[in-house]
Amino acid sequence: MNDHSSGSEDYNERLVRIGAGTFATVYVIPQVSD
Amino acid sequence: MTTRLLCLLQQTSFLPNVPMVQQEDLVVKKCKTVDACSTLEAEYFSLITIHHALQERSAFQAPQPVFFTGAEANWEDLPPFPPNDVKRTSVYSMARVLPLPRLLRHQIINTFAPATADKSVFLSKLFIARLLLGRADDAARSAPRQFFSVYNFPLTAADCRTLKLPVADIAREMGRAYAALHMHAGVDARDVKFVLGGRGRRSNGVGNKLGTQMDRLALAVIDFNQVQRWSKHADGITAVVSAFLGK
Repeated sequence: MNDHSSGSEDYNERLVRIGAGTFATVYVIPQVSD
Repeated sequence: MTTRLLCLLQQTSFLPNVPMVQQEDLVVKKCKTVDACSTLEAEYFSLITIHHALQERSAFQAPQPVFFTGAEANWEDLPPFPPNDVKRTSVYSMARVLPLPRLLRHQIINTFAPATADKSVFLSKLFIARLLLGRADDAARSAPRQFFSVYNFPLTAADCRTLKLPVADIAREMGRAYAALHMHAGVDARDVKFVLGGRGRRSNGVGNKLGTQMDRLALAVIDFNQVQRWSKHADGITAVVSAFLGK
């Protein structure tokens, strides 16, 4: 699924992988706070 | 975000009038294989169409598209991908659906996590919720969920009522979103996801439309890789209904 939440954080440079579907990987730039 | 990426975003020719989004809001989606790049490209252009179609027509909004770049792009302009994902494929970016506010995240965990779960594991996680208002509530679900995960946390209509979310208002906006997707975007909306996220520092919360309990929340539609255009004629209705029913 094209997820927008923050889950597994297995890369900690500029992009964090937050989800993976069948054909794509989704990253986010982790700057969000409450 | 690198200065190079900022330049790329500002120079993109796909969306010359798209306002810049703050760097903390960006999601970057990268195709896994070269063969699937056309699918990612089609999804991006569906995102553009759907983003515009939903504006002013529903409280559900599609993320702001930012840029698309093909596999042939100069990767010096892109942010560094992890070492296990450096194959040159298509990439696009869009605004992020922000995580739910902490208060609601904790309410979800405290309400639905089984008593045996170590809640501290989940309380620190940021997540959004997937709205599944049409899913029948399983009577067995009155028991604690055996396999608890906060990933795209599924909320049925009953779950929303438990959390005191305005289910009828959300359902109405979902209907409006479907109408906009079908009749303005001209797509069948197959496999799109309706989600509930947070507003963060953005000013476009849905509280003014759906009551104060939604002030810090945002409604969004995501996942457009399976949507297809349809004819808007009678002969296409069967396909749209089929997509709606998930068949």
